[in-house]
Amino acid sequence: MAELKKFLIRRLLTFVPTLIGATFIVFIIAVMIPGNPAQLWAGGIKASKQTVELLIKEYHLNSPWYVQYYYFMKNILSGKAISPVTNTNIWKSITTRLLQVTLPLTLFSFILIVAIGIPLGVLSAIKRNTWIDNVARAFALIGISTPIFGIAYILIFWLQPHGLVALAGMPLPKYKITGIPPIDALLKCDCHYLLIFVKRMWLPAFLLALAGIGVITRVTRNSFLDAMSSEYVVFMEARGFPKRRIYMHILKNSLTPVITILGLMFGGLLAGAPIIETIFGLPGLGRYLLQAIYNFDYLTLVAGVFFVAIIYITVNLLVDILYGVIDPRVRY
Amino acid sequence: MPEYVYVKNPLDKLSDAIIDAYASFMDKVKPGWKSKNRGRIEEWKLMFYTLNRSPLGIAGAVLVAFFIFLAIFGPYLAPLSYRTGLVLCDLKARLAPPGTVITIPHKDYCIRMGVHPGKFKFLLGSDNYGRDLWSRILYGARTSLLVSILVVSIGSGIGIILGLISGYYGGIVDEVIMRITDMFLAFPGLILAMALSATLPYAIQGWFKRHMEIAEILGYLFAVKRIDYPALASLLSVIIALWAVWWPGYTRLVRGSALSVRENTYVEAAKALGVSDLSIMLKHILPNMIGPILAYITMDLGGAILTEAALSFLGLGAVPPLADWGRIIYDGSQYFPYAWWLVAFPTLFIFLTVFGFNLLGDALRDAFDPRTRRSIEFKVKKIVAKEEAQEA
Repeated sequence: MAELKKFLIRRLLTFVPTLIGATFIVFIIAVMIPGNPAQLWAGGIKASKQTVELLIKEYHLNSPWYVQYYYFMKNILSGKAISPVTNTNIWKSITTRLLQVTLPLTLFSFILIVAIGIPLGVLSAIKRNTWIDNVARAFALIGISTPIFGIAYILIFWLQPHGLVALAGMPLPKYKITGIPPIDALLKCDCHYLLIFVKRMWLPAFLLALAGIGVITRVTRNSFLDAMSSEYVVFMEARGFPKRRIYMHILKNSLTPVITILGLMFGGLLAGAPIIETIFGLPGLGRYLLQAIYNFDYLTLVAGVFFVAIIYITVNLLVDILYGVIDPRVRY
Repeated sequence: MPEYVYVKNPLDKLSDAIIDAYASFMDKVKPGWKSKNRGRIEEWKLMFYTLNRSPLGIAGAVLVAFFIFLAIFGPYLAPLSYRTGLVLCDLKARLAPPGTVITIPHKDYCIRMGVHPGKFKFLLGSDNYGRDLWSRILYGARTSLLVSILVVSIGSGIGIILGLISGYYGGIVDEVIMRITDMFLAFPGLILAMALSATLPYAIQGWFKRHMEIAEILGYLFAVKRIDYPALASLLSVIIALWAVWWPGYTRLVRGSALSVRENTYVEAAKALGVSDLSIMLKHILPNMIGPILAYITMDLGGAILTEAALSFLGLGAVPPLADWGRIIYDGSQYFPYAWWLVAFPTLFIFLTVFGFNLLGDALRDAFDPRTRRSIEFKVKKIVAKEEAQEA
């Protein structure tokens, strides 16, 4: 346990610099925009001088970039930053979009990846070199190489007339416990809302998960095959253990690389969200950031990256801790 | 005593011929190369035998070869240019379904656009300006291939160099490089690419005005007409944006392998003999881990095509007059349920191309893996009697 403590302290020490660095990169990119952002925010060429000057004063636009960065981060962290374009509280609009749409969507597709990818990979490894294996591998490769933005339209066109997908609106429950709608509904056992949620989200989540399912199937298959050639498997077979028990042992030993990839994938899912949210008209964080990019609203953009980076780094930290739980040989 | 002999199929013979030709060419340039590298040539031949025995790998190679053919010759094969809209010649040309035949009248306007009067067939349909989808897909193949090659070559180059330095030197150098890599990996690449490709075009357009020759080289490579040179800034910004996103993955991959290869005795021996750090890195460490990296690069070429199309789909990549698969889907999606061909065909082409690269990369990884290569070796070899072996 002392080791874990040391490890956690070391990781937390790098946590803050990494976070600052990540927002910094985006901030520098944003500041590179030539022209006058205040003029753009105030409404283009016709903007009144007074408004522009007010904006410049409010966002310290005449100061050097590091001063701007300092004031901006201060504003964000205190939760008072106001977007100059939409004139809304950045913290509030980002957290509501993240919690209500993007996080449920990402979690849903994450669950799909785990629930489809790992069993498919295991099946493919057990039935190695049979038609089942070939089908699973082909499915994995197809998943990796499908452009989701094209296939989404075709699937909508095919499924919509049968009433299998809902495309409009984003239903929200009336109660609020954690702020994440499906989890609230689960806590309240509200099957009606869950059904609506699944009907709205299953296709976006599945398409978002498609590439991930492919990757996880392949990784699981390879690492399962590696673990299958270990000596303890031969021993267990000779000793006459039932097949299922042997497979459970192999699975536990082959999960380490799978979990690494799953951890890295979580951020990728958050990043893939803008495309899916645009196609399905979901009012999520990805679409909001995309809108911010179109509007040159770089304050919202940097804030969004800040949030995504926090989630991403935290998930990877959890993965590193999980290693020790799965594989007691791991030393931090 | 039984002997082994290779059972070769026509493809094996073809690959043998290619490798032998390369070997004799190298022998002419550097006398003695062939006898010095006999083992390496043997290994290469085995690699090709492995590849030839994986049907999926061959399918992938065929798809990739077809795509590269389209990308190189597409713009010359295309019946029309990517920006020729026929809607003013014949109103039927607007959103024409696949296989529509229109009659082009003898009008000045049409002739100035370079269309011959007579009948014209839209093989895969047309878009809302009456532009031929098949021509645009052919031009789009050029765009996709060039973007993916430029992105992956430079991106992986930066990543491999940084990874090698980081893994070889270790210590403080390693720490600094890996922390910077972590910063780039700390947030999803697509968002960084989105931000970059939205902000860069303005800077690049100004740059183009000062250095016309760069725009000209790019215009020639992308088969773009002079009038659309300003639009190239969008493509260049996508490429730069993807460079910024692409290298961290390679740095991690290469650093990991460099760390393990560095511990080998031959590296120590080279150090003891006073070989310079640079040549140890390039001649002793890199060749010993290049196999998996090459397979990864092959799959990544497909990934780059997909990412570039995704950016264009979000409206952040190629700008309108340019032909780009992602952009065609984005523009076509507005007419979707009716004009299905504008979404279906580009999707199919993207899918087949990326699928081909993935199949090929998968087979290459098997071919580069010494374990599978050995197991294939026994399948290729057949035990025959000594007399027969001599005959063969």
